[in-house]
Amino acid sequence: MPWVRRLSGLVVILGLVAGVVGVGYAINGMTQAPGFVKAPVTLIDADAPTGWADVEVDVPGVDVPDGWFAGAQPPGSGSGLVSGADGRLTIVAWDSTRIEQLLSRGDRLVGGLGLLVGALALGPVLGSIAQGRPFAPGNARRLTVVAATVAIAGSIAPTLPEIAGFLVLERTGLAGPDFASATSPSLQPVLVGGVVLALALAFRAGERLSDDVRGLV
Amino acid sequence: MPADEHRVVCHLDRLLADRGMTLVELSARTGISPVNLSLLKNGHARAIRFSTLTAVCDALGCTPDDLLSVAHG
Repeated sequence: MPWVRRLSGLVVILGLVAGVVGVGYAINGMTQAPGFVKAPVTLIDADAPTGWADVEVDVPGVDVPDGWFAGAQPPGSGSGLVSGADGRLTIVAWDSTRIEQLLSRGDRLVGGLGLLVGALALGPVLGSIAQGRPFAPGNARRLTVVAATVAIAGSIAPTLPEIAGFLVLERTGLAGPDFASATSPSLQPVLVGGVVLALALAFRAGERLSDDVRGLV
Repeated sequence: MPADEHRVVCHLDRLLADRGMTLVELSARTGISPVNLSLLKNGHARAIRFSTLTAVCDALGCTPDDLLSVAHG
């Protein structure tokens, strides 16, 4: 299957590019200190914490007839993980520290490194499938690495900018009843990782079967 | 003893020589690939299907006991 072989090469190249870009983007961010840093924060309506969109965001020069602007829907609010949060905003603050800059771009860093690790593990699997040996030794282990990478990187990456937001709020003295930096754990990476892990277990069974029929005439 | 180690000896080479038959001829008679017959002949096979055993015995006019034996440990 030549197209699978090409896909294998493409996956590895994309992983390498993502890894280099992610690390480069994060390092570039660290060099921006003490310039401005952008980080997500969650706006909370202390008086009426009933949920998203209760708080009005004032945009100078813009008037919404019979309505208002609210922050973006906070991640996880649909599942009630960020109770009482009214919207997600991006805070932009000067005098940033290197750690704030690094964390604010941490999603790209971890995402890029995750793609790199995942691609380097997935590439040989696709390569052996292209050679007609899907259950070659080591493929199950490589898919297990992919599953762990998806679950861990996918869970950690989105929380790093939120930690940066927390640090910025603390430094600027804005942390309090109105602003918070709420981490928003998502189950999606864990579920996707679980699906890939199930695939890895199936491949492990396939490896055993393949080993059983080796030398069978 | 590890699972992939065994003491089964295949006497296909002797049976072929006795009958003046080549591996290719046996392959043509049995429909079994020369590669698989070669594995069997050279003792590299780790398992044999009943269908393979039946076809080889039919073609050579022998029994499984003639074809295979277990070497003393």
